Amino acid sequence: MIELLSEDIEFLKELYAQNSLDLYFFHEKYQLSPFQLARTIQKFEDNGLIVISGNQITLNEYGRNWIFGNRKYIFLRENVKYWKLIPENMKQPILGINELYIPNRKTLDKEIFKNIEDGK
Amino acid sequence: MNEEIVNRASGKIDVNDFVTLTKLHKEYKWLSYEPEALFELWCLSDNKDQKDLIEFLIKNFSFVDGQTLNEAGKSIAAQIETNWGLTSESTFLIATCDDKNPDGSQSIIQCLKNKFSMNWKESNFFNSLPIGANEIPDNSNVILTDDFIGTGDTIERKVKYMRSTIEKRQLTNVTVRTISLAAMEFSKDVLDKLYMEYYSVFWLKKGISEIMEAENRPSAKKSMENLESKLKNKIGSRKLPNFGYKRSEALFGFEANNVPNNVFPIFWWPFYKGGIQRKTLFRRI
Repeated sequence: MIELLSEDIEFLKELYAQNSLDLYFFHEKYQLSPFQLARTIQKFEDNGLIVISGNQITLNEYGRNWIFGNRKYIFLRENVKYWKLIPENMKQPILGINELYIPNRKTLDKEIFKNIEDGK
Repeated sequence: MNEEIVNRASGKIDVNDFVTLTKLHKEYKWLSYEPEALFELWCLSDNKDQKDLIEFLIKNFSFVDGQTLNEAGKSIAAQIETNWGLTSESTFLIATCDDKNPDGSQSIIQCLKNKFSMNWKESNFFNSLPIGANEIPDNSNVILTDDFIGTGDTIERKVKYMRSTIEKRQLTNVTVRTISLAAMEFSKDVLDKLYMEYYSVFWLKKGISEIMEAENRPSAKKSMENLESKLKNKIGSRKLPNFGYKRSEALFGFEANNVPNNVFPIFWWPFYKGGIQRKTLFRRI
């Protein structure tokens, strides 16, 4: 199966809906860089899903059937959200069941306690 | 193509620029090795002439990828064994590297080793010029091997060193030749004066002064001067080589290797004027 990046999914979604689009559309709507779009086009052209004519990209019959046949894989799978992954060196020990979170007192902002005492 | 996750465009790009850059990326795979470098190079220009020049140079760039390198290696081996008729018994290929730092000549030697017929052995190849020059026996053929010949100055110096070592060692029957992956056509003037046989897989013309139509050259040179004026003039003791070392105007790169300093510096010079670092299509140490 073709490895899909987020821009590939956007590309397939738009082409399936509109059948034919010009190159610039994907920059205007999704802010794809020239490299990203060239890579995406190359991927689907190599696999025979699209046809390029001048600045126009058109989904062919095989491409339409391929997207429909693989719609679950393309649109419903859980993508790895790389920006959500916490680097190992930043992770804290996992809390046990019913264990309370104890903040590090040294790093607490003490101003808030003074304000409480002062009735602010 | 490079499958890493990359940033989207940081701002809106003009429609004509976007289409041109996308098509360049699609057509020339080597531009994608550094995904953001082409756009940064494009941003160096501030008018259509400069953009046209960048596009022209990219379209005329000779980039040797792994597959081409493999074919080039076979072509070099065929030149040595078939055309020159040299055999493994008396032939030695010597990389032109003459100090402790690795260079492109050693890459070429390494990739050539397995292109020869079965009777060639490790002992036919040297990765250092001083070692090779002092170890080859009499009655042999020496082939100095380099990845790129620019002005011809370096290969001239190496051939002279080889010949003087042969003389010092009192060897009487050693023939010196050179081979390279690529060479600038204007270096033939220097090579011819060395009175030896030489071979290069690719012969390259100067990017502006020879490839471009004559009537467009003056404005292209002006555009290049303007582009280069935005680059830092000096990095440490290295001075910006305008139009490439000794104005070689080279358009050549060899996958995964240092780019020659003969190449136009807009492709590899790492700092803008003011010391801000650039993302470049090629790197050079």
